[in-house]
Amino acid sequence: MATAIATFCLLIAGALVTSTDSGLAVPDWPLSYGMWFPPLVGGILYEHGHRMIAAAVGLMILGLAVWLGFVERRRWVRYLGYSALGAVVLQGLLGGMTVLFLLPPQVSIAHATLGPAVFCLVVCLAQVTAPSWTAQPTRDEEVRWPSLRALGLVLATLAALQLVLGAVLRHTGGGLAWHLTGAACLLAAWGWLMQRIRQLQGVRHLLCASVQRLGFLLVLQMVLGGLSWWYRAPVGVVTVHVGMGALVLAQAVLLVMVSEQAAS
Amino acid sequence: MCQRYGMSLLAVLVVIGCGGGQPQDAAAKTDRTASPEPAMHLAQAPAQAQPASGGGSAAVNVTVQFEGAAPARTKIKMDADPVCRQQPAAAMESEEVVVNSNGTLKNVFVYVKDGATGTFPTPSTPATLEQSGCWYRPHVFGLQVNQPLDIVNSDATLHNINAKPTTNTPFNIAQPVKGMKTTKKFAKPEVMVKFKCNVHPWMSAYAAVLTHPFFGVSDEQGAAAVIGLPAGTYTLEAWHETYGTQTQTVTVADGETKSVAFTFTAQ
Repeated sequence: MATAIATFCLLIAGALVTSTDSGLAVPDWPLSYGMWFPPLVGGILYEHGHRMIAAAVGLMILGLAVWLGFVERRRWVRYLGYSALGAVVLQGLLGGMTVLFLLPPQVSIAHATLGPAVFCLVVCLAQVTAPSWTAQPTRDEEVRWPSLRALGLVLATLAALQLVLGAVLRHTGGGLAWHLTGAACLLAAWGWLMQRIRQLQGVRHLLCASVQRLGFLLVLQMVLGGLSWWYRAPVGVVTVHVGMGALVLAQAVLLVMVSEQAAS
Repeated sequence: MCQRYGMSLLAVLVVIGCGGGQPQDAAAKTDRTASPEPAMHLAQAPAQAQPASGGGSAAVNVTVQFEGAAPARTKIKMDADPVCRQQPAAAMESEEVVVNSNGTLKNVFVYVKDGATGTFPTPSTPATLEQSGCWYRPHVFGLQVNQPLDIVNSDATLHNINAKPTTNTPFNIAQPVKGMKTTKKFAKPEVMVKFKCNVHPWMSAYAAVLTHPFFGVSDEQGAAAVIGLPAGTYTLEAWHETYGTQTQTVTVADGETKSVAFTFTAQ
């Protein structure tokens, strides 16, 4: 959980770098102005601060992966930990490339998309290693198509796609219509899932809270998106909007996991 | 098992920066040992990129008028850097639109857009872009293709110089030490190349890269001069970062000096 919180802080720090246009305030990488700790003035505060938090999160995920390797019995959970480690290493390399190649949009978009993915992996690890996760709920009769699991997957996929579209908009200035369409699709998918869950009995208590949380985040996210557009991208609002996007994705993935658990 | 974790640790350490390294692009062309003294001299007299003679004897004196209410200059908050914060209050105003007291407009780049034929030697004297008082000096300037551009840090704070051309090769270099100098060249003509400091987001400058020396920048009187023109008919363009461009055609004979006025209107 601590690693997940730290990773979320890293996302916010990364969003601040873009929002304040500080991505190139430190022209070199991996050191900053040839130093470990340059004076934290102006844009350097955001860029180097992001790097320092990234280093700390990288070490935390490394520790988590090592710990899982030693104590975790479930192989897939161990592999999830290794995936998080691999993803954070790749994310660091992408971050370096954005600096060294002067923010090429493709690399910047990949960096902005992989960040929330790393966060999701860590959130999943926090979920599956929690003591409550081992308790299996009562199996529910799921005969209708599409299944809850499938709907959850659609929702999570849409949330991930929406993050990519958001990153494209942020780093190229184009694709607003696609981003808005993505938001509408996400909301529609959420409505469909909510409707299905209302009709269920066995797992309703387990899923309902999760879907409601997701709905709350979605509405908040859309309000933030509207404010970002209306007020021409103020730093604070856009930064929270980016962070909220990662939370939406994480909540959607958790929903898939819970529905998976409910169906098992 | 241990080997596996050893590899993982190595990978993370590579990413988070265990390697040594020089600031990007700062090695070969950057003079880290430059004395701060020349920088002081530069601070007192920022070296505008004076155009070399074009071989002719005609000239055009340009005046750039401003019509309408002059927009108030935005106050810049320099609190994020203790060195920049020491600037006098008058130096903490934005440079995007500077209307002179006589109603003229400063920092308008005037140049021959069409009509300059032939080839013109590239000056060996470098143009200079100085970072002084947490501003770029000059704010707008011109230089010729392949003319050296000395970029100097005269401030006791860190600056990055993020050049954002669209035709030429972009670069982003670090100058963390006062007195540092880096020399760059632009191989293709381009109007304008924007320079930005991402450490201090209010810092920006514009350079026009031309194939000829026929250009000038309006000063505190709104005046700019295009000198050394051979006899002929030329299209003059006046460029301003906020108000865009205007063009006029002018014909000059050998030894003749003509006056041209551009007028930019408040938006």
